Amino acid sequence: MNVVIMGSGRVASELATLLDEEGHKVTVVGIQPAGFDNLRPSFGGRTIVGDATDEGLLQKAGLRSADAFIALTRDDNRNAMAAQIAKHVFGVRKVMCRIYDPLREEFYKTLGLEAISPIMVFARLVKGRLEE
Amino acid sequence: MLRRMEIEKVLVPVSGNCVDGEVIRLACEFAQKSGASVCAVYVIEVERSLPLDASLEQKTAEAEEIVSRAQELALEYGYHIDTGLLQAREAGPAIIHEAVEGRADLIVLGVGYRRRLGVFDMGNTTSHVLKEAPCHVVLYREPAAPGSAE
Amino acid sequence: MYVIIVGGGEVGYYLAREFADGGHEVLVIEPESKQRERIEGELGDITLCGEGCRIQCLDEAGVSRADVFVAATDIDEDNLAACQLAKLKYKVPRVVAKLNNPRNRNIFSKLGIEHTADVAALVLENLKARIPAFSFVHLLSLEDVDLEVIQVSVTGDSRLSDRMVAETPLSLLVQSACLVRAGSPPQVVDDTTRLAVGDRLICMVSQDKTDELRTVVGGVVGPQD
Repeated sequence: MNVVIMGSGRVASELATLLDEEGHKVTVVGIQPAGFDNLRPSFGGRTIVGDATDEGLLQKAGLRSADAFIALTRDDNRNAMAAQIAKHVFGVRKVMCRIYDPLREEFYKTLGLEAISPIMVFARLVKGRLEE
Repeated sequence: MLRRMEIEKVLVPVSGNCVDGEVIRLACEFAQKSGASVCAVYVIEVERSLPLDASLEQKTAEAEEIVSRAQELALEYGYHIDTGLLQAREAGPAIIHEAVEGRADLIVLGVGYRRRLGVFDMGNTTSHVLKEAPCHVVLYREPAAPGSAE
Repeated sequence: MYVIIVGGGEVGYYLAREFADGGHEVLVIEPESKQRERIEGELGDITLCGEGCRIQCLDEAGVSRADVFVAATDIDEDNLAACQLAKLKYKVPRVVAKLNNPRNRNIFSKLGIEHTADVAALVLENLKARIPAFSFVHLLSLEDVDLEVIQVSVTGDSRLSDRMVAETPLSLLVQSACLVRAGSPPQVVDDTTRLAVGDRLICMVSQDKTDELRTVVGGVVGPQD
């Protein structure tokens, strides 16, 4: 699979490493070069410094031929915008984005985006454990 | 000091809680010294999902009751006071606006003793009035007796 | 009208003032107390502390009652998020976004926000309109009727001067135009109007003809050639 990941925080870097280890073609787009320090030394994919809400940069990152795009920056609005560009401008088949705010997670789902709120995921996980 | 103040108009914001009685009494006392007039106002706060001039029957009825009770209290101290209802987004700016427009030279307001997160909190309205009022302000706080929360 | 403006920066502030002066109900949503104080100092209690892309804040602002919603922060992705919420969740009839990066115009449009104000482009065209060296200046877009308003200056080396309009490509490209000539009142252009160096034409052009018109008129005019 050809995967483009937006963001270079811990979650993004862990995901990039996991996918890379499994033999997928991974491109990480981060706005700050220092962020790539989070990537494991073994990471063999591509890194691009730039703003993934910019159509031109996404083009450069190879979004036309990407199978999946995952937006994982700390900023909900940037994630939502980049994910929508990936879906509606580049027609990427699988698009996911992190939306911290649970209320906005719901909203973006109504727009057809696969939005994931880590807050809700964790809350449900803990609740599930309690009920075990 | 209050004896030296030249007071003609006293504005008393009332809120319907337990400090109203004391605040009205204080306002009448100040006013009597210089023969000033007193006006008690209640601000109906209108949330922004409604137009500012929305007709809020229940809230208006409650407000009318609160100001007429203030009027009765003042009569007990032998003072006839005016009353007014205001409709605004927030009480603080509305009180200041009223004080400026009505040329009040003294605002007497009261605050209950309430704690938020363990710390005394006088609330947005009181702090706004203290910060923005162009005239004298007298603030009454109720005693911090246990169970005296509003 | 009830107008909600997200962002109390320069654009938000002046816009709020215009609407308030026009007697409209205005609310500016702005997280920074400094910006809010500036607006409240002049326009009164018309601000709300918060972020225009947060649903709790938009609920409190009464967005579902708004007639106009303008997102005017300096960050395009925030403007997009706020506008999408206003349009799709709260069904505000008129939603407009300030664009900080001109390249985002198409993206906003594709994502359902058709009405955008491209600040950089507006400033640029406004400057160009005042500099005689530019013979083609885009003044205004009227997207809803597919029209562009363009100022064309007739220069000595263009194929426009000393000709009747019927003899130039203008007659095919321009829907209607107004001639502005020093010393005479503006007049509506017809096929028999004779053009002269120094004339300015305010042209109404459909969107798909603007590039051709630009070629005919010849963009920037160099000093000698």
